[in-house]
Amino acid sequence: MQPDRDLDRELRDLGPRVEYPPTPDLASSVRGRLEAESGGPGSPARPLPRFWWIAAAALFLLVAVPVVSLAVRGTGGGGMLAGGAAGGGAAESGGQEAVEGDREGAGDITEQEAPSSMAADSGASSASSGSSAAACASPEAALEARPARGAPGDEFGIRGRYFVAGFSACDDTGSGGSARTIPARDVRVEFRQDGRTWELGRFEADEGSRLAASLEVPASARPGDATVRATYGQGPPEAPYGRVSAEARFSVLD
Amino acid sequence: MRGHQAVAFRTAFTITGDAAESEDAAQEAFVKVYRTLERFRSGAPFRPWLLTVVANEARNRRRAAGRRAGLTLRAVKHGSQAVTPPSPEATVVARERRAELLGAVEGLREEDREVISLRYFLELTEAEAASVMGCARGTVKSRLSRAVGRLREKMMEAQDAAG
Repeated sequence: MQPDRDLDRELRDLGPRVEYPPTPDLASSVRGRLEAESGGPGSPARPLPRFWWIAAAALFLLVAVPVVSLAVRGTGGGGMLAGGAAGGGAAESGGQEAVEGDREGAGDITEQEAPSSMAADSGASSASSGSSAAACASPEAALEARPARGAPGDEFGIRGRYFVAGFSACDDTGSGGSARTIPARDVRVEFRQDGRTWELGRFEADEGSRLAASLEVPASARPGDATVRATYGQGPPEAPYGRVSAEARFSVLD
Repeated sequence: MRGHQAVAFRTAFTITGDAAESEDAAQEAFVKVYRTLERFRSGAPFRPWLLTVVANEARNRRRAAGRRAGLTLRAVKHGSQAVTPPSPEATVVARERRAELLGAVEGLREEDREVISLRYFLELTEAEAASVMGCARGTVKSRLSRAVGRLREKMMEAQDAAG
């Protein structure tokens, strides 16, 4: 009978010889994830801003929801919250397919009004009806790919507008109203084709709620139509601060 | 972090038995640990804390995948060089013996395999193994003793079967 101490010695001797799968470079992947989440290289986790973010969202809900519901009743609900700048007729359709339709109708999104004055952009119809309640509304997020075609491996750029996550200040009691927007963070950009999805990266909108990034057509994409989609936020799209996405069409060349 | 990534990955691999799952679990654990660093008591040992998070992540993933961990380990062919090189026959015998031993470890039930892997293969301390297994240090000791006993029985059965 073999004593356990011999087995113990054998096991100790075996330990350093056991072959494990190669250890992946976790340091790099973790750093990449943390940078993407915090919005820039070297940024540490920021629990305090997250608290302020929640506080700002709660404040916005407290102020904006009653005001918006009043305005909806006052204006008949047409074209105030969404799609105002890009074509108010799409606002009632609500879904993201309508967003793309709006964008195509609007042409070059960079020619639209900047979102710095949300009242002016999105509230034109409500302003004319005598309401200033649209101060804290924003047009739908819009996305554009340039060039909108390319072969696998080619570089292309995206530009987005109105990537607004919320409002840090919302004064809709004055004549014109004012709102300071909070740019969207952690915007996930995907390349989609025939049911396949490639995540191209996560980005943060700038202070003007604009999104810009240089990307690459996935090497395994096939020639044909594709879509570039940028998504941020959580929860159902219809909820305040719910999921928002904008799409741009792309043609993959041979 | 680089100093801990190998032990984190291998600990996860001991639990999941799958390299891709282990990579995800270890990565997620590092991110969680980083996010909660401010809650970490300075002066406390970091590794047991990290390994606890890794083990939890790995178990969650294994549970989500709905499978029993099946560990497949191999012994490297070239170990450390002895001062006096063993004869070719002795080398072959030792290699066969290591393969038998690994095979017997793999054939153990999950709890036994885990404690043996953590203590002998990853060379974790009792305290670290206790963190990973979510039990007291004394429990690690008793589980290890029972696991080695069952391993010995398995080895004897294999020897008897071989003739």
